Amino acid sequence: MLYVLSRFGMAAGVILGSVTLVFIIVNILPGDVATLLAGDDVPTETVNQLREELGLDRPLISQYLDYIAGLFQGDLGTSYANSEPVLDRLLDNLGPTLALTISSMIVAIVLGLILGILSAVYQNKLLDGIIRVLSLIGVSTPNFWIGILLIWIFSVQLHLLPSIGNGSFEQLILPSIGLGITGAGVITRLIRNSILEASNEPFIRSLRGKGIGQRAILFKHILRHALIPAVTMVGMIFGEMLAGSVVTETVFSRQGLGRLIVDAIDQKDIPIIQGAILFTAAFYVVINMLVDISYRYIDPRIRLNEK
Amino acid sequence: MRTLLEIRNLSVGIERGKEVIPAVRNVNLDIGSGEIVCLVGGSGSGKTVTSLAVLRLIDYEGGRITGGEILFQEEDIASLAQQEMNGIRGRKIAMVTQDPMTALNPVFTIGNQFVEVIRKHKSVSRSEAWNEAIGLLEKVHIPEPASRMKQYPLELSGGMLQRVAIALALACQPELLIADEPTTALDVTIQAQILNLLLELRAEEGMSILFITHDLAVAAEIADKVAVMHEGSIVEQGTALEIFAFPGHWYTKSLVQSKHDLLTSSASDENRQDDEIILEAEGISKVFPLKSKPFQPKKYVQAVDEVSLYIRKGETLGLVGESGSGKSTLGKLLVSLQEADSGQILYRGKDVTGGTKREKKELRKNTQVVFQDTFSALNPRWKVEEIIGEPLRVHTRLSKGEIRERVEEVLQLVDLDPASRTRYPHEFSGGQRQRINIARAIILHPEFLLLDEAVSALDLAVQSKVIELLKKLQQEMGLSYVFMAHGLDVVRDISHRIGVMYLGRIVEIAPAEELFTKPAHPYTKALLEANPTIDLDHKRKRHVLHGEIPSPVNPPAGCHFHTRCPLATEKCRLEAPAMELLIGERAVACHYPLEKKERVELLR
Repeated sequence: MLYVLSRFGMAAGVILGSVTLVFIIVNILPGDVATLLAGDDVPTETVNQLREELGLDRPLISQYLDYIAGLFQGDLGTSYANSEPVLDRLLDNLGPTLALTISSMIVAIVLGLILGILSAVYQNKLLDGIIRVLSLIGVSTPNFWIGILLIWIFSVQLHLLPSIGNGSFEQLILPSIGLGITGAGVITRLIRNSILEASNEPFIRSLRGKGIGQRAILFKHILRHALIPAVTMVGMIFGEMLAGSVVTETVFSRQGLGRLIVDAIDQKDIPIIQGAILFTAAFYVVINMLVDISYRYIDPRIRLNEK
Repeated sequence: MRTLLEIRNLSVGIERGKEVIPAVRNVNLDIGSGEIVCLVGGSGSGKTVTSLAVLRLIDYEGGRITGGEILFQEEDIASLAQQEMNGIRGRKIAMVTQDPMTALNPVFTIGNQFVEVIRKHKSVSRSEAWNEAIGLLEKVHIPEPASRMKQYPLELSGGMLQRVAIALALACQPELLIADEPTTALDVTIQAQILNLLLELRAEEGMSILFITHDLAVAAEIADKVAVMHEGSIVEQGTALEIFAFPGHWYTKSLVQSKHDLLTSSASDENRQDDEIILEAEGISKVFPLKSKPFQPKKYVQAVDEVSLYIRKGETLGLVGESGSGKSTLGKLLVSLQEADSGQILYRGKDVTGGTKREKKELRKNTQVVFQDTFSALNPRWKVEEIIGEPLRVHTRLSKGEIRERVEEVLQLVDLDPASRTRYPHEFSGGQRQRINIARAIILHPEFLLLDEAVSALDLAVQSKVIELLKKLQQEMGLSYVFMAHGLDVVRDISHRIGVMYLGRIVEIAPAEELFTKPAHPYTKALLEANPTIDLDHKRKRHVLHGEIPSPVNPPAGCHFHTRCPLATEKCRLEAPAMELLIGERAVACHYPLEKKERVELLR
């Protein structure tokens, strides 16, 4: 319990740190927001007035403290571009991004597990070779390119699946594969290696010596050991997927947090950028916290060592 | 007696790439029902490969049976399918491996591992299997078996786990138990308990045991029949008496001889060079804090408790005691690898505790260390000359050429070819690697060497050669050693004086021969009696120390040993005995030191 509490404390620290960092970065970037918003050919007074309205003339530190205070009240500010509350815009875009990352994660985990196990079982055979080449390609190809390739094959050539938009399940398939394939490659390689490593543990020999069959040894004993590093990796892959969603959502013309960030950066819509980063950081932190907590249930050694 | 297992002309090869390298050649061995057969030999002699072939586990480890038959109950199992072997393994032939810590899956409870095995071979419900397992744990004398079932392997001590592993092997009343070095990773006292347990189980269950060991003395303790393996073949087999009293083959002779040599020669007979004291400890203590939960009192492990000792120039002080007795920590304190919490370390009469960085560096130059694991002590990416020359680069300003010269010199001193300086650690055998470690330790001409289990990982023959080298270096360079090992015979062989440690305290310290012939502390006596011997007259008469070393977090009050001591009285429970000088250099911390004969009898 204490462990879980301390994890929460650390998570809060990470989120606060990333909010602060983003605040600093967007504010020292060149380009004056008020000038940008007011448009060309506007008298200086109007720009100044706008600056005052937005509170941009105050010292940075008080802007920062106001922002943080707002956060605690659930107020993320209003968009510069269309004066909508930031929170509403984020929530509108959260659903599609969540759907995309979760389905990509499922693609990564299911593909990674199956291929990783096959690769280890057929170690140094033809199938293993094919899987290893495929996973290497998956790991090393940028996902926007995979996305473009998928659109070309399945939408342009075969007319099987829609290439753009969000809403239907079909529209989710190609983007999830495009975004999930890197993770699948990473997980495949990791599962293969950790299965082979766990197979050399002395207790595996003992289990065979007790007449336990190959299959039971693989699925019950080896896989549980192999999962520990894979779970860590899932947390990290999730972070990469959030980053990747920015590109993938653009390629597939999907609505979502990634697109929102890109557009907001174009318009220097600082409250949106900050809010979106806050959401992403919180996501990432929560997922990794879950990962850390889940170890303790997969591997009792971690739990016992704390006693 | 019916023959249970007949191995006929068995040959086994290990696949290396496309080649098949023969590992076992034409082995013939019979095991009768209820018989204990010991397979003895050095590492790489093919003992384990033979046993894995009998279980047909060799198929999974890159090997294959290239010839011969394995007749188990008159059925040739060498040609059975793995599917059929799964019905035999664990049910008729069971296995116990060397390191109990790694023999069980760490992520499942003890109980779950029993249930899995029992339900694999018998059609019983989960709760029936669970209860059966509790019965098995009782049979191997595990206290509170029901609560152990819910624990994970790492919550149990090594000795307990080996009992669990044995109980697990017994789950389906196998007819043959294959035990591969089952006591090698354990303390002598626990080893004696496990050997007794195996003998007891043999008598109760009438099962046969194929016992694999590198230790002749262990074989002498337990075997009905002994087969000696060397380079993949059985070179000699016969009854235990035949093998140990009248060895025929040269290899057996050399094994028996080197074991006898250990027992007859002792450094304490030889003259010491000097009476000058090099290193001295005065009442040093060390505690390690344990991780604790908030709002609870912090707990400490008392690793070393008020220890005082001295080491003369050219002298070897041996340290013995079960694991957890604080030997290693004491060693690290002596060479300032760890700071003592209280007490003083005197190097040549000068206090070196809490010195400056420069003083520490000077001390390090004169006090060097050799550890057990020969491989991890050497950087695998460095050449031997870089490894051995490193101390010179740190402590002196010699030129490259001079360093090379010194490296070659010191390689010669440890009986290695000076030309091997350009090779890497993995190109050497275990014994040679330990020589490299020793060479690095002596290149600065230190005065003191800490040898922490420095020969424990080596085969008997290699071990005695390294011991010879250490003795030679001591003679030539006037080195002082503190020598720790879990094999008592080796300690006796190399040491002038021996200190016995128990739960952080030295309970007895005496010249080596006197300690072995006339132990004064009941614990020393128990240790010595637990030590296996190839002297067949003494076979199986020993008194076995009960229980295990208590936790150093809550050591028993008074004399730490009173919980396991047959002589303990109220006084022992209340009052810790002080170290008292008996005669000469013998000192003991015991209210009732064993000098009178009746106490010896009482102990029996």
